[in-house]
Amino acid sequence: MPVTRTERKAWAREALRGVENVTMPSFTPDFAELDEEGIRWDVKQAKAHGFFSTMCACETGLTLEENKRFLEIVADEAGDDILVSFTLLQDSFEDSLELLATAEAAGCSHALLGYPQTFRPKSPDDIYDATAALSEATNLGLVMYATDKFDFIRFDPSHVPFDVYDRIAGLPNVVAMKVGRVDPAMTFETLRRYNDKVLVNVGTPWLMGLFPLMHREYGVQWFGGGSWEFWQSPEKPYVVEYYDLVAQGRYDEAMKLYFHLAPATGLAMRESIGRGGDIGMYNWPMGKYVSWTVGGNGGLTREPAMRLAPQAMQMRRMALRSIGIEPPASDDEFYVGKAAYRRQQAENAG
Amino acid sequence: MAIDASDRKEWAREHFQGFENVTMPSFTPDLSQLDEEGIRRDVRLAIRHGFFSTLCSVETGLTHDEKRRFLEIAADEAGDSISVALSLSADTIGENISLLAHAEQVGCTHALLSYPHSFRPASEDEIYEYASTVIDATNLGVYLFVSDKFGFQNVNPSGVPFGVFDRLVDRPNVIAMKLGGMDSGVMFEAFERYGGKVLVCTLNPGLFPLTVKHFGQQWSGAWTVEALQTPEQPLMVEFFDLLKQGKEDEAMTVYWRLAPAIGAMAGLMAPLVPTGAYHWPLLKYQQWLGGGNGGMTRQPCMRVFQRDMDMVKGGFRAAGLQIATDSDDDFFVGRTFAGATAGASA
Repeated sequence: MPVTRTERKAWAREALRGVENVTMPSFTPDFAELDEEGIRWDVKQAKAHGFFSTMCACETGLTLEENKRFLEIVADEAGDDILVSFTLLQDSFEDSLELLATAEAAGCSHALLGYPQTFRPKSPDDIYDATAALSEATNLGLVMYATDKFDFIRFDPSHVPFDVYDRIAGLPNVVAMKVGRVDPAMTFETLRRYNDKVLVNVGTPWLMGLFPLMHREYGVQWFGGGSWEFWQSPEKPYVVEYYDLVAQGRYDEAMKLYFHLAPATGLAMRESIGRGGDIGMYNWPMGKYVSWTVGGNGGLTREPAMRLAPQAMQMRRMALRSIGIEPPASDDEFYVGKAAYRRQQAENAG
Repeated sequence: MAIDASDRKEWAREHFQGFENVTMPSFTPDLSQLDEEGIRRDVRLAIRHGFFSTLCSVETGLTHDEKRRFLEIAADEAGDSISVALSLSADTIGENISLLAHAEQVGCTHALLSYPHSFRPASEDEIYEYASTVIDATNLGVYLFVSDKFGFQNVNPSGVPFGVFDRLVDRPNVIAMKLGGMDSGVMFEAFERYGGKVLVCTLNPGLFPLTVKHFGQQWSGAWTVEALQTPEQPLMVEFFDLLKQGKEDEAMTVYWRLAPAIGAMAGLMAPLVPTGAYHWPLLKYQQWLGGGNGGMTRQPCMRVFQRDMDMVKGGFRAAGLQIATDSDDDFFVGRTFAGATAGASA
């Protein structure tokens, strides 16, 4: 039965528990079309990893129609096994509203609040008005976002204009907050302000080690959309296991597992898998490579796209081996994606 | 009055309140001699900042005799107004123990346990043996150092020799622990595991709200706190005091005011963390802007670029901190000699 917007806060406390990954679109090798088979493959992978939800990255070079189709495919493949959310990072508010409507009809459950790159609010009130309009247009849950992407530093040195976020947190279907800022003071501030209204999450891998404290003291119950596959495979779902151990209060075991992952973390910090926070755009090909090395579909993304540097790929392989996961022997399949590669192989054989 | 090793834990609980900064040596413009006046100026400045202690960094290109003299000058200038510590970062264990003896004699109070570059332990026992030898050699308080730079990943994937620290924290003169890295899990584990036994501290101001509230963190050091305040506007000291008083609203207002300066500091320092070395001249520049002596340090030496100086100043100004208006050129010789240089060139 559909959840209405006024029921979303209560729904979220039950539903948003666990680790949410990111699903990026897959394309045919000429980038002309979405690769439905590849997208479905990645959703199956998200289930195999043990994620409770997958967030579709819509700011990856898709037309509005493609974005709609992307969400429909993911939601269809997800069924009742896994939740589906998406990023509201479209070129215009009109596109965001249209996508919200499609997502609701397709069976998505929540969305990460975002604002078009052209959005230059004159005052914090403008942010509230724009957000309230999105909120009123949908029954989906909405996730506030603490990030430097929106240049709200003009209104507050923290990048979060707290007075207006205080009001946004009160909207009935605003259910959670993704803390994408590495500064732990932001986590503290958002927990202090919003924990009784919305579910503040672990929104960046760099604060993963604080999860025991956040869970014990504040009841934090989910990891928001992120590249958690960096630290796990479906066969060795370390991050999900770490989450479960902390949720059960088994901190000794949790921290032992956490430190098992430390060599990979050390490599990630050197070669910055997360480059993007500081320039407002992510390295999607790298994100797909991370996912592909542990069974995802892979494949590159359309321009504008960052390049996948050989040293970054090498670092990724070393990171996996350092935590006992063996990456694929060859990268050949990655460049077109698993599904397309298999189709090509079948054609060649035929 | 001299404090015996057995009383050091109690002494530390009482005395370690607030911040410990870092005093780096100052030199004559040709870098051939220590600049005593400049060193004394920096100790006086640490007192004016409101720090409870200052740590003398001896790994800054000094001879053994100069290290000894550096500690003497700092301790003499400090008197009873501020504690003086030293980093045990000499090249050998013998030199570290010799420095400890000298430090005790001249009135230093505690030391940061570090490990020589050439120390490559194959087991936790070897680290324990090294640490025990140093700790047992002194009545000074010793604080343990968690840092990636020691390369202890071979004994524990976290890089933290937890098994060693488990055995050391009950020693009477092991008083505290500095968490030099930024890994959030190490932070959690160290506070949970050792919080009741030694005074654990993180250096990340963004963590203070959580660590003061949930773990009772009562001090932080040693780091260049002057990157985020001036003696006239001691915002970090105020921020920390407010947190300890439970005044969260006021504390967070101060923190967010400081956010641009913290961002500038993090932007400059983060790329250096994996190098295992410190940018002494840039740290001195941050101090100089608030009235410190400044001046360059000896080779091997990282350079100070105008773009970096502008970034530091931009952070200070964005946080509303009043800083020195002297020419940046004056920094390169230090305040003791800046006037003389100007005169000579006039």
